[in-house]
Amino acid sequence: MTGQFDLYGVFLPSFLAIALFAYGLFRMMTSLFARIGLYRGVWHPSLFNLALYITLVGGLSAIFNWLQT
Amino acid sequence: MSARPVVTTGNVLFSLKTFLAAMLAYFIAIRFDLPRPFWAVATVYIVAHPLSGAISSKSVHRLLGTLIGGTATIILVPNLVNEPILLSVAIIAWVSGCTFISLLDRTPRSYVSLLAGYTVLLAGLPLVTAPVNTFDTVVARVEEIGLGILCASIVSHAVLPVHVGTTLLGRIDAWMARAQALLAATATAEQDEAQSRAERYALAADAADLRSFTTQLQYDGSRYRHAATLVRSLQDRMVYLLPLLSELEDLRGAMARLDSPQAKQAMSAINALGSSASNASGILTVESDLPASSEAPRSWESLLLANVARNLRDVVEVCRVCQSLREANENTARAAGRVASPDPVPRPHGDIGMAALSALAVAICLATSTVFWIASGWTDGMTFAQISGVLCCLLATMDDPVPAMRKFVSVTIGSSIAAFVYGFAVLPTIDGFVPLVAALGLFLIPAGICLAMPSLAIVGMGLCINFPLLLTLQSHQSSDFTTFANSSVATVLAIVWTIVVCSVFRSVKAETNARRLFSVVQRCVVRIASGRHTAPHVMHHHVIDVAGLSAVRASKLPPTSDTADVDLMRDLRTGLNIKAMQELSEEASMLVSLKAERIFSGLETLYRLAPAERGEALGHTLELLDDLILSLGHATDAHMALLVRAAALRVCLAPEADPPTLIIPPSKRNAA
Repeated sequence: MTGQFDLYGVFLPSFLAIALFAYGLFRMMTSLFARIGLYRGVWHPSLFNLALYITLVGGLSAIFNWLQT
Repeated sequence: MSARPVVTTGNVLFSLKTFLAAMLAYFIAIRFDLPRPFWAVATVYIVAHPLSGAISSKSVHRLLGTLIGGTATIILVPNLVNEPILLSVAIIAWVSGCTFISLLDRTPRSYVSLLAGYTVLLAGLPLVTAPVNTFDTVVARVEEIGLGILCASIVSHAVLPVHVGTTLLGRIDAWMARAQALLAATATAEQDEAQSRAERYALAADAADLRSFTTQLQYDGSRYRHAATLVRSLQDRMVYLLPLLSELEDLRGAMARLDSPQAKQAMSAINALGSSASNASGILTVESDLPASSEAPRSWESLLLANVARNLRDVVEVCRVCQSLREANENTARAAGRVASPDPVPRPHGDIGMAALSALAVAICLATSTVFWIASGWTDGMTFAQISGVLCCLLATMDDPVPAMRKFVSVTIGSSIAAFVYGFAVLPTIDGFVPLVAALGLFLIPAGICLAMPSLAIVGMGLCINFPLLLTLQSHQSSDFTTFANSSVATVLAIVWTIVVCSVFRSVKAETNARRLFSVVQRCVVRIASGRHTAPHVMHHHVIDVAGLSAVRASKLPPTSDTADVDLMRDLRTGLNIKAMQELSEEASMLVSLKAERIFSGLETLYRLAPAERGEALGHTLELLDDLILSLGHATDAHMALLVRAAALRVCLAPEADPPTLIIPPSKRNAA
């Protein structure tokens, strides 16, 4: 988690990269869910989305850490 | 506190939520060791809004504006820091330019350019003494604002959200109910003219308000989020009711004067429509009992009857379409595809002159305060320049910002006293985050309740936003009386100075603005009459928008003012009728279209005149119009549609006038 990405000489914290990547993934998943009508069965869509995003970020950084070791 | 309770569950919840978001932002800012955590706290309170969609939309605009402003700072400050005068000029030009742009746009989007303007003030001015830090300061400010925005949005969406969609649809329903009530009152002539005109204006103002509200819908988390097009087309149709109602009123008056059996029948049809509108079921049926106008002998009366029939049909049609769109909103996903996308709505009306005046006031205010700062060498002259500039920008939309500002002065003094007590009595004894939160909550939660009340919003804003800024909440509290006193004095002085500048350069009477809006509509009609205008729906929305704007001013007008008794809806109808006649006269015979041409040019000159000078020109135009109408004796069916429109035009130009004399000897007709 403490590593940095080197983007053509600009150092970005890897957490930022993970968060952005997770956000892209998250947008794709929400639009997919909306299309298949999953949200009709969800009580609190915003809370669901927040939880989904946190899960994604957590999962991705866990995978990232595991890959590094 | 007597009329309505201040402390309602909704308000308390809103205040608690905002406080939660602010403390979350504060906590994260301290953990990440950001240089000025109080900016994050203040940001949460700046974007705070009871509706979650509104927060997200305001947040996105604020973040974008901050980014633009930050970029401008990075470009301006390091390059010009050795030339204080040049730098000041550049900053003033940038800020007033941004204010100008934001005033031309009346949607929530205008916040972007407003913020791009004053971010330069807030982030750029402190750097003048230390330009080395430019990049760091700008990044820190963007970070803090971004943090505050994120916390505010997440909390408002996740904790007991209040959705824009539900509120918006509730307001649309209320609008429709009001319009139906007005329809009932118009049809049965319960209200006098001034009353129903005021009501139409109020509805127009509401419609314009709802339109800008709709832009926030797409940031909403509710199931109405994807219904933005539906809601927009519903609003498009809604506004068509207003000119129809105004026409109905005039037609009813004309029918009442005619006093013939057929006119009585038409009156009863109008009454029936009115009583069916006031029923709870709300859906209207008429038609069948209207006298069939084609069978009637061709006369002024038959033209009026045709107009009544058209008007009632249109009213029913608009109501029906609104009803079905409203139902479609409930099961959006399936219905969204079926409804045609709304016509592109013209940009809302922007008054370039007033925007330029406001931008000039901002420039003057900034220039004087910067000169004072440079000349006096007072370190907190910077705060003085900052706050007066920001306030000038924020209040640029108001006609007369001075009364609101006066209130703001006392509130600011109040919040600086509170900040003094906290900074020197409470906070030094506090150790740790949780007690700090508890202590802050004691002040911010009650102040947040004020923020939720529209009538107390300015008090709440003054308290909640100034408090964290004056207290300069930091990770390590440093209590220094000199700094504190300096910044408080500078803040209060800045507000006083803004009042002075605004009252000298900026304050205009409501009447001035009402007159400007009136002349916009007149020019619009002139353009139509001279055949230089685009689609009718553009005019429709434009005039309704302007009527809404002038509704806000109309209540403040003195009764003696000559703009007090104009009816913009009537002008709108004039324009629409001219447009319809122009289309119909293209197919008409040479003689008729020549006559129509003369009417149009007569109207063009008529609407170029000031209302007081119109008497003669109006008489002339009416003569031309009567001449056309009286040719109906030997009109073909194709011409009848044109003549019906001409009658409608006559009713709206001169609602009180006697009907044109019908039976005239052929010799006189030739002479005319």
